[in-house]
Amino acid sequence: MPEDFTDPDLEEAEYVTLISLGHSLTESDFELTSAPTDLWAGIEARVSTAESQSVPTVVVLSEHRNRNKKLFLAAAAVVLLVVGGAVGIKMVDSSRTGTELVASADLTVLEGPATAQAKLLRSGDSERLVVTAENMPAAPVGSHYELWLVDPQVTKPQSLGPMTGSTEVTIPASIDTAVYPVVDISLQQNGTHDHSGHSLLRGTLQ
Amino acid sequence: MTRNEREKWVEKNDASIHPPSDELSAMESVLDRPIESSLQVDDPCITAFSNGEETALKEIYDRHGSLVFSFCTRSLGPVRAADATQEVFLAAWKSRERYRPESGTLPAWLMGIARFKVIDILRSDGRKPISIDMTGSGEVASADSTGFSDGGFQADLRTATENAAISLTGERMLLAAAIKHLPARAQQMVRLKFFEDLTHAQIAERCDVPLGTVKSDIRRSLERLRRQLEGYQDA
Repeated sequence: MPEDFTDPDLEEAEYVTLISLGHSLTESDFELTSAPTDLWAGIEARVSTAESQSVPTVVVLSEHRNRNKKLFLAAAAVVLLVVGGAVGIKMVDSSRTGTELVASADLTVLEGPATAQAKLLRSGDSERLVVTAENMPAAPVGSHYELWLVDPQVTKPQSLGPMTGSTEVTIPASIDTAVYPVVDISLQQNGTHDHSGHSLLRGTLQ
Repeated sequence: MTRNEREKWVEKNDASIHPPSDELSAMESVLDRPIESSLQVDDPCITAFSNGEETALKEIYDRHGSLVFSFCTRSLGPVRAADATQEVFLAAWKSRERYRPESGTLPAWLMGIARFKVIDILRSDGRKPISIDMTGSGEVASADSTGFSDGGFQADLRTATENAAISLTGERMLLAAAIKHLPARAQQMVRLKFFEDLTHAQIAERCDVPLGTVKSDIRRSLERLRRQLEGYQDA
């Protein structure tokens, strides 16, 4: 048995956060409420729905999906709007994980303290956008942050949904990242569906 | 002893401070078991969950559904709690490939998801949490009586404070659930330490066990509890 095993002072120091949390416990923290009996059925139904839709549909833009996005992205990077900073295209250990890093972007800060990077990952036919955000404060009351993919001409921003910080979303098959290569994070008033025009971070996947 | 058997055993002996000697040896074996083993890092259910087997999600729901639902109920009220709980488990299912047992326990991961889900729901509908227990003292203030005045900065500060309070509530409930899974004797010692702030010597006297036993039980229990919370803040 180590010497410090029986030293209460060392124990207090080592577990100070836990012990502090423990002192804040109340009996109500131990009380559990049984979930409604039909709650699992609801989860099961939603899981089944999610499984049947391998990728969710947000906005249908085109029936035709570009089968050679990587080449298109590389070409588009040269001629399209360039807002991002450091970028790179590389393959990551695809033989082991089956996941391919298609493109990335350091988002340019347009407003606010937050910084963010975005990575476009592909697994099979599915694409995911992984956004790593730092210093993102809580959105003001009545508003929220929203993640978008935007075409360089900004004709019709495609919402990927609300976000509160770092997030990972599956990109609907209806959104072609070669057509919508710009990652944008906006501040939106709750209840609005169109892009507010109030962008905080933006960068182009390359 | 399986987890379910241990839960039933703890429930059965909840009011019993001095269990029979044969059950005492069972407790010792639980506490002496390596932490990694007791945390079920190699739990076949978790492996099945990661592999996308829906039956594993049901088992996980059976294990932790009431904890998630209770947390959602405290923050959102019973009406919205059911839908929030569904969203938590759906989100967990969708992001199952991201769960790493070595980085934190499953209940901590689930409660971390629940925390963000609750905050998201409150933000998206512009409403306030049902209650705000700022200190963990159990003195719950209504969301309208927290002393913040209106105004942009104050509103932001209020939101941040509410979010922190929600997060703290979730962590306390996670800790409470972990304590309930300790063997009865260790559970009693930890409760005396947390609730009454007794010294090891006082706990030894109260529980009528040797001081060395108290020290070792509490030490191992604290380590076990700390591990049970890992992953909550990172979820």
